[in-house]
Amino acid sequence: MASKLDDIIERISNSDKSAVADLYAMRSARLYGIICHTTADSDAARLALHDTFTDVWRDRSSRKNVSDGHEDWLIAIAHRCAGRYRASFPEKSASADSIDTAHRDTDAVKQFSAKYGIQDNDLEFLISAYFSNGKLNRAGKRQSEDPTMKERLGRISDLFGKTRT
Amino acid sequence: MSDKGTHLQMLAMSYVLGQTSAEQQAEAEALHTSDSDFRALVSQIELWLAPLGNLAPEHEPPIGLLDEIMLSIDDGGTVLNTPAPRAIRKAPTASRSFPWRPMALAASFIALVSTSMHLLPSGQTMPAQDDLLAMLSNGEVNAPLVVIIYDPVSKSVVAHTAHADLPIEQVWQLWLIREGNDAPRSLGLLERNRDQAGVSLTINQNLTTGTDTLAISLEPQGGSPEPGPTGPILFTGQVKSLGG
Repeated sequence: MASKLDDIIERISNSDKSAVADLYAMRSARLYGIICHTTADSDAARLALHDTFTDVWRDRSSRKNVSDGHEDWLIAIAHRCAGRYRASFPEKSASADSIDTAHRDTDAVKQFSAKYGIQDNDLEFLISAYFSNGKLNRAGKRQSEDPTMKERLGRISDLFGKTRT
Repeated sequence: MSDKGTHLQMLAMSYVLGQTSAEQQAEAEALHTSDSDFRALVSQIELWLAPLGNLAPEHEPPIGLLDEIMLSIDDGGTVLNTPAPRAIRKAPTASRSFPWRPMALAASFIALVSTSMHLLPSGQTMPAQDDLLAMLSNGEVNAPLVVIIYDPVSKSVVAHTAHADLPIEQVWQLWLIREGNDAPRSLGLLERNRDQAGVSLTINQNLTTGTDTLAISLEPQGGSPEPGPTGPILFTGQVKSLGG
C-alpha cells in the first residue's frame, strides 16, 4: 500500500507543482534538521533547504515509476545541498558533536551498521564525517589526511564496494 | 575491483563526505563534470549513506521559504533559480536577503527581457538569432542590470550595463554555473574596452541554454585568488536563446 510520501513523490514525478508544497509540509523540518547539523550557519542552511526542494523538482523525472527509497533520495539531496555551501561558510561548519548520542541508536542507523558490518569506531567516524562535511579537525587537517581516519575511510569505502558486487 | 576502481570509489566516498584534499577535490570535480560513471557512483554513495541522516533531529524551517521555493519553480516545469556556486563565500556585508539569488518574480524577469533589447548602442548590429543571451540582475526591480550576448561562433561575449558601472579598484569576474557541475568555472574578467561602449571578452567555453547560468562576482584586481569566487556575487542570470 502506497504511503502518503509515495503519493506525493509520484505527483512530483508527474510535474504536479502543488505536490512540492505538500512535500515541504511533510518533510521540510526533517530535511532542515539534517542541513542544520551539516552547516550550522543559518544563511547557508536556508539556501541549502531552498536548493533541496528545487533540486527535487529538477530531478523529479528520476522518480518516475520508482516505488521505494524516496526517504533516502530526499536525505541524499539535502545532504548534497548542505555540502554545496560548506566552502561558503567555513567558519561555522556544524559539528557531529551536536548530534546527541542518544539519537545514534535510531533503528535506521542500527540497521545500516549491522547490514554492512560497520564497526563502532568506523561508524563514529562516518557519522562525524557525514555531519561535519569537510570541517577541519583540531589539528587543522581534514580527517582524510589523518592516517587513522584515512584507514577508516578506506574500510568504509570497501564496505560500500561490497554492496555493488 | 581494479586499482583504478578502488581509487575512484575512495575518491567518491571522500568527495561525498567532504574529506578530500584540494588536489582530490579538483580531481573529483573534474570527474563529476565529465564522467557519468563517476556521477553515478557519487549518487550511489549519497543514497547508501542516507540512513545516517536519520540521526539529526527535526528543525523548524525558516518562515517564508516555501513561498520562495514555489516562486522558483515555474509553471512550465523548469526551475528559474540556480544552485548557488559551491565556493561562494559570504561577503562581509552581505545582507540576509541573499541578493545574488535570482529570486525575481517571473513577471519582472520578462520585463527585463524587453528592456534589455534597448541597451544595444545605436548602430550596433543586432545579434543573430543563434546568439545566446544572459541577463544578469540582482533580482530587484529597476536594479542594475547586465546584458550579456554570446556569439557561439567566435566564443565571444559582449556585456552591456544599465545602472551599473564597472568598479575602479576591483574587477568583475564572470563565472559559469552549469547544472551537473559542483563548482562555478571562471570565464574571465570583464574589463571595459577603450573603444567600445560594451565590455567584451573571449571565452574558452561553449555556453548552452537550459543548463547554464552566468554570474558576476566582485573580485580584487587580477581576479579571484581562488578557484571559485571570493567576493560577493553581484549578478546572476540564465543563458537563453535570442531566437526563443
